[in-house]
Amino acid sequence: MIVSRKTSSAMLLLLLAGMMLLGACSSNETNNGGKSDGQGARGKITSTIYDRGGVAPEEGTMISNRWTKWINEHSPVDVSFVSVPRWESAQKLNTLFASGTAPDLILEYDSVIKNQLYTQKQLLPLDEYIEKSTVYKGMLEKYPTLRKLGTKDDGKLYEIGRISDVIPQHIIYIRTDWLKKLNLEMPKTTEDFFNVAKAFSDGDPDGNNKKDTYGVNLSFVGMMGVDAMFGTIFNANDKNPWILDNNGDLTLGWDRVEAALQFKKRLYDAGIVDKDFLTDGKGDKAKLDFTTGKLGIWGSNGPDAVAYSALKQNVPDAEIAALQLPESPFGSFSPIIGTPISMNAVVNAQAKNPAAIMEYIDFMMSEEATMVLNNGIEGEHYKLGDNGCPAVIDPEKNKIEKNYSGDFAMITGGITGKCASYNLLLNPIEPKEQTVEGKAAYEISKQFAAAYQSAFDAYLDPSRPMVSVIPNAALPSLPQTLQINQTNGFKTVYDIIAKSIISGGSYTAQQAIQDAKAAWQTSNGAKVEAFMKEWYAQNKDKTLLTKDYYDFIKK
Amino acid sequence: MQHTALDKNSPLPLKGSRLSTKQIQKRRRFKKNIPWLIMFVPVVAYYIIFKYIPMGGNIIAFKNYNFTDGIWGSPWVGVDNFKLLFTDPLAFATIRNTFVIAFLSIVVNFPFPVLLALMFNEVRKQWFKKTAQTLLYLPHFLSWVIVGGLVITLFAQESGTVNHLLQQWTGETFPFLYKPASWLALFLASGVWKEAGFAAIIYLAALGNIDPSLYESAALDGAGKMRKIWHVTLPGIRPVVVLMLILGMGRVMDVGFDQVYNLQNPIVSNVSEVISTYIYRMGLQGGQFSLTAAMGLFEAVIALALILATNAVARRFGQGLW
Amino acid sequence: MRLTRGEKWFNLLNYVLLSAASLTCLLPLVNIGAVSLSSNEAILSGKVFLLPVELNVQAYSILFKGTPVLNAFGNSLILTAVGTAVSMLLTFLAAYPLSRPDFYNRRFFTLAIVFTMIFSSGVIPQYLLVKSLGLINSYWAIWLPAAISAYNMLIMKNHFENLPVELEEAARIDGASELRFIGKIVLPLSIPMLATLSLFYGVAMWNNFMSVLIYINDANKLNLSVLVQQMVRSQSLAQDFALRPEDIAQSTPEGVKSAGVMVMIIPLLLVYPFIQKYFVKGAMIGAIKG
Repeated sequence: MIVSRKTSSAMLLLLLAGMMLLGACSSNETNNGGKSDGQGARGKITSTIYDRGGVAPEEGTMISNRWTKWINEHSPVDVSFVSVPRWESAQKLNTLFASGTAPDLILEYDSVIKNQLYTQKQLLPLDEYIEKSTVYKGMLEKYPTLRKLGTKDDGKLYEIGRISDVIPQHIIYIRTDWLKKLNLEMPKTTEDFFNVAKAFSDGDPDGNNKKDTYGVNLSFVGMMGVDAMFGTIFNANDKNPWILDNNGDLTLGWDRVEAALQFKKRLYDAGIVDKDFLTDGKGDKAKLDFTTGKLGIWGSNGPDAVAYSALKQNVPDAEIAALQLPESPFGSFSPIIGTPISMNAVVNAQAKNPAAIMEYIDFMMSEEATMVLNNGIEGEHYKLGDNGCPAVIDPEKNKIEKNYSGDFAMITGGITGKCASYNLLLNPIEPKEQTVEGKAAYEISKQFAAAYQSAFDAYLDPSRPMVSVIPNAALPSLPQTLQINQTNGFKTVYDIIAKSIISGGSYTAQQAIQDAKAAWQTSNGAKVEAFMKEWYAQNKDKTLLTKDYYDFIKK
Repeated sequence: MQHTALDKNSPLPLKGSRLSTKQIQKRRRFKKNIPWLIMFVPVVAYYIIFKYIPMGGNIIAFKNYNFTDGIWGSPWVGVDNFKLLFTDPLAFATIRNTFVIAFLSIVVNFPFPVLLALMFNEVRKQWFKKTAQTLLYLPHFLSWVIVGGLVITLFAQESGTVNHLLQQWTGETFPFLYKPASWLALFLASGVWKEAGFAAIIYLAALGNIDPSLYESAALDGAGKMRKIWHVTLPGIRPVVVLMLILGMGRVMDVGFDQVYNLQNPIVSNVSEVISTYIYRMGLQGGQFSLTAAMGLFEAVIALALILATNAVARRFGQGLW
Repeated sequence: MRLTRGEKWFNLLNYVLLSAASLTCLLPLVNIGAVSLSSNEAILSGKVFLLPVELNVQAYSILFKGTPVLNAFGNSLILTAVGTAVSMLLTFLAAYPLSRPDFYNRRFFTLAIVFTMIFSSGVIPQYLLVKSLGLINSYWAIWLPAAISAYNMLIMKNHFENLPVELEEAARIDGASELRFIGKIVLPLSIPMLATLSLFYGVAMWNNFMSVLIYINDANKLNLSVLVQQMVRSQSLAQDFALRPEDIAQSTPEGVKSAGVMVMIIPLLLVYPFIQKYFVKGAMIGAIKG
């Protein structure tokens, strides 16, 4: 049957009319947040807040609870919050910005999202407002790097950050009881490392007469640890292979990538690692192997006291320490260290009352807000202990009332020094009531504190610098086409490397790297390299480099 | 059958003496149409407002979309986005993989729900039928993150259950997850496992429409079980099967992102990288809305061609959708 | 009824295959259930398979006391109930006229609808539309844009087309009005199909994630799907995310995540038997004769 022409043209007209209507609607819309009343009274602002679905019903919701009330009672401005689901923040922020309804203050960890908003010209430069700022201006003066890292390539300051102590982030634990049992020394070189790992997998360290142990894990942090020994980062999770050549220029360090690949192949071929590491993206399987006493050297993200106590429950005699990374032909390195500065907030370019936002930031950075949003209310959630640090009164009560305040604390000043959580982990407090369980738990925390302390000793020494020149968070945002080239090029390279690891003699490291270089070139790799080199030459003094981390370590 | 009815009543411009009959027919048709038109007005409004108007947003595929200028204000770039897409070396492989996986999915995944429904139809014990149906419908509600974990638990090379058994029997293990062929087989099988039970529901409902007396007369003719299935059951659900096939062709190109993402690993990326994962990485890495819109349009054109072709074939057998 | 030997073997094989398939579908759920009822240490040590280890209901108590799961559950119920009703009504309004052979331009309209199934609009134009209609933060933003699934509409239309033509002719001769014809003949004859499509819409609404995430800003109005998804994601963090120590500290324990998945799935299991009873063989013919 033939469609009547009248009907179809009528439809088309309607369609066009509708489209124009929509266009008109959307272009006339303006930002609805942050109305200023213009009377010099309390400013009103809006802010995002992560929602992780962890607020108890009696507490209210992430946008209305005791902490939002506390903030509104104590802050010089009125704040209303918009919740952003933590694991979908890119999607949510994109729609909010695209429709012009984004809040004034955006709290976001992911630098990719923030860079994208900057490229889209959605962010407000803060320089003139910071001039009138009090607390935050003081912080910028005290820590010039904070300004460096917040400044974008147009020379203006966009991002708000905070300072934390420099602590180990990736920790490579080794089973020292296995070392003793097999009469081995802590490995000093990568060759030693190979031999120790081999002994861990072949020498039946768990004494059950079965070959059921692994030497080291190649998933997640384990893989990153092996990369770090060779002074490179090129794995499923991170790709940051940029190093300095003899002239001090930034270049892609293929030699190191190749050496690391060669080493991984040896580990794989010798049966030292779980052959399924590629399907263990988050390292869950490796963690399980470690806690059940089947893995000798394990890369952990953060200290992970929980994994340690699970290990002790399964293998009461287990002892662990952090492994100082063995020396490779490229030198001695340390795995990734927690960043001293994290940039956590940006301001919407459409914000109506930037001055009020600055007032709010100053308030949140103040000691009072920092204390309350990180520890709760004194007398209610904590009291000061003998060491002068807040001690939790009732952990169960805090689970319900306090734990979710962490996301509000994103733009408070960080808790540093002796009361920071890592220091509490390093110095466990002996329970006053001497129950059997309490004593046992204290014993375990003491042992763990020793293991954790060894990570500080092993990884924070500038003579064994942290791997990579530019920390991941400070890597520049590339122009669109180059970004696509880099993303796809690196992905292809990594896929080739992964294939080579598991292919034994049929796909040598040399061949793989040769193929990888070719693939990188077809993906315009040379242009990406040129951009990075140029960028580094111009920005090396303006941005945060890994070597700057050591300035933050308190002597 | 419907088509003959349609042709009889079509307002074809006939000339001559039957004009008055034609007019009567026309008037009768109009009268019949009144209640239908009233029903249909909200539907037309719905489709214009919620589907066709936003569809205009696809023009960003030809623009360099940015938030500040919006959909209308962003500058035109012609077919630059498409050029960028097709000069990206990964894009070609991506499109090829999508075709391969899409084709295999139709061939493999389509028959299982029909088969399941036929099997259920032969079960006499009601409690068994109901329990089994409910259980098979269950995996539909597990997210791919969970199913992906299950696949690894079962098929991992060292710790996987299947390889444990293999090792006991043959002394060797097989890298199911790292060979393109076996990975594809697992990919398809997990799709069948997760969705076949749920997809069978539509056929189960259609089976409810078959007249039991047809089975009785077939039995009187001395037909065995297989012949009853062949001559009564299958023809009874044929319209639904054809419909599902046509609709399936329209959806075939959107190889589910979650499934690929949760099952893939770098070793098989040369077969597993598909359009949806490509779009995801592009979107996540840099909010390339224009580029992903271009890829989306490309995908849609292919899907349209497929669905039109399938429908044309189906029409030959009097089963067309339109 | 006597069965031949071949038929006996056929039946046996049929039962065996279906039982095996059912078992593979049951075991993962049993495992999730067992994890939700086990102690955290047992889960971390990989001891939990099909039975809970160190049985306790702590995960459920954390879920119900420490998260807005009950509120989200209620929201999911409202979203699903109203959403299914709206969808079924609109889908019927589209499918029924299109199934009538005499309906004006029915081919054009059908094709125009199929077209929307393929050329969808992006997220952002859709968002701008919902915003200009003033529906942000309202459940209508969830119900309306997804009200008619072209897929389901075509299934319904196809079903109506395959109803015996004699029925309509008989009704016309009796002089029954369109409404009467629909109410007395078409709908009663379509119960299995209507039940199925309600299930499809209902399940899709229950699982609805993306549009709730995008259109709903009020944390009080979020549904179970978004809540559980956040828990699953915090557990199985995608590799692409830059992980912060804060994220690790606040990740949902495995047991609580599993409990969330259970709370999300169980209602759907309970609903299914009610739909199933409409799939009885010959339901439609019975309706005509009765």
